[in-house]
Amino acid sequence: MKLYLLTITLCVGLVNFTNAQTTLNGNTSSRILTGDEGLHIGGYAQIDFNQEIFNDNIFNNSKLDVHRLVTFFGYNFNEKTSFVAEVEIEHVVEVYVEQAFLSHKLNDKFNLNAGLMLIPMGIQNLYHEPPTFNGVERTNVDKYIVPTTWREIGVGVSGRLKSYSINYELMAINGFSGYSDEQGSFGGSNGLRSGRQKGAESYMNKPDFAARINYYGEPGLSLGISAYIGCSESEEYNNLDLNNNFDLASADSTIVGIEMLGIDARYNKGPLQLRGQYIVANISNTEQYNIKSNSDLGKKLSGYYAEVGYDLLNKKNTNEELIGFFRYENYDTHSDVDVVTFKNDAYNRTEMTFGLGWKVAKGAMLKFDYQILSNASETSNKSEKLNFGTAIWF
Amino acid sequence: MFYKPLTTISILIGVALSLSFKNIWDPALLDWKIIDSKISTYLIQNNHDNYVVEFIRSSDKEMFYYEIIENGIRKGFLVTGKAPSKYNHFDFFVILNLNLKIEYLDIIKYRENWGYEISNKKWLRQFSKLTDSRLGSKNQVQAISGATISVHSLCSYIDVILEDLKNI
Repeated sequence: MKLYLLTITLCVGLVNFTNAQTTLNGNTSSRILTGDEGLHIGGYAQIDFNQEIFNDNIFNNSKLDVHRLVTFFGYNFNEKTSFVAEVEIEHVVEVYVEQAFLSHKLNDKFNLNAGLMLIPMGIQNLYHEPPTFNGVERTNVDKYIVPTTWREIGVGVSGRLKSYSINYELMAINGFSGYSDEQGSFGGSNGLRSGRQKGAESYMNKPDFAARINYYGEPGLSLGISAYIGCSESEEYNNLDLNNNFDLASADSTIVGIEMLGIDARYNKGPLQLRGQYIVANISNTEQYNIKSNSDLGKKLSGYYAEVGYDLLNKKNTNEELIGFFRYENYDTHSDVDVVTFKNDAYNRTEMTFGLGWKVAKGAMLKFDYQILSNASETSNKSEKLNFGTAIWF
Repeated sequence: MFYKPLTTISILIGVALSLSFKNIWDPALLDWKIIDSKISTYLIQNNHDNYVVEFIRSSDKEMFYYEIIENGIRKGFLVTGKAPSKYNHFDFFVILNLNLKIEYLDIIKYRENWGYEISNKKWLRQFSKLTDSRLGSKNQVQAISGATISVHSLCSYIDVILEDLKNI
């Protein structure tokens, strides 16, 4: 064993020398792009064509859009400390910061994170790079129930319990902005979506909390449970005199309590891909909130989808994939309402999507799908939509 | 209308490129106790308990090739390396017998919060059962949703290792 250790020591010395020699070669850009150094650059993009199908003599123009272009910058200061930032350009003219946080690893089981972080809720808020999901557009459960891309500023811990094949994430962050400039942000159609603060001069009355546990113990299977609990924020609390009961009551009617729970599963076996998700959000104090802000926020929001995909080039000797898929999705931002709110069945929406995704290279995909959209309203007609998309990720 | 995103991106690229670069990976950082333990287990299971590990060479992809020698006779190979994950890299090692069959594969260190599923021992065990040496080809290895890049990366590197070892 001593001889072994001596040999290893000599090897490591030699390897260090060899390593030092190799890293002196190559230009700066190649070193960045190969990821050999502390700085990493990446990105993803989604360019869409959407056409609503001509229906009831109503004509709709098609839409062509650079939906999002996201650039990633990451810097590893050392083995333990790194900074992650994603800058997003949406629809060519809107600029957002999607993530910007510092991560420090104390050990494998415990990382400390601080900054603008993705809320760990469901699949697509965390994994939303276009080639990672089927269909041109993201699932609408992950738009109207989970307001993807949902990110806020805070601190958190994350880590892996290897022996149990569990990954966890826990964070304290600012909540949604529910009321500002004497207007409510939440509504019946979009739920909580318009209340995201996105790290742009965010404000907070008190922190909210989010957590997620992911189990990956069986090959090909990933099971997740996500939870979020807290209250929305309100500008009415700023400069509030706590001795003034009228003002205090008025401010209290501008916030809602939010409890969101999600379960999701993904499974891959050979050419077969399965995934599903269920999300439910219970909102409290909606009666006061809706009266105060003249809104129609539901007191329960829920949605789910189930999807099956199959690689049609499975038998071919190629690294390309042609994934045919079908997805059934239902989401209702008025699953339940308070006594002062009319339950709008038009917010109970169902989508059936089928299509193809041609993965021409790892990280590059051409997509096509056809959607049949309907809602539970008695006056509703089904509408149909045709989508083409370019999806890349590098 | 368009200057804002372009200006922002230009500034970010400028700041990023102005940062100094530092190599953060070194085989000395590997946990050699784990590797030692796995080699011991592998060889002892095959009635060997007196061995040395000697360095053969390194590759452009920062993989390091060693031979496992027992009583002056080569018994197998050990390869350590780092491979890219989504935005970082992970360390792995693999032990192969003289027929280039994978005896043991392990992820020593996985650094980021994406793609960590490849460190699952059950998933890694499938590599020891594979007969097709071209792992990079699809369907040889079970895909993992959310870890596509890391799965592809590991398979590609194992493919390179298998090709390299044919020439040693």
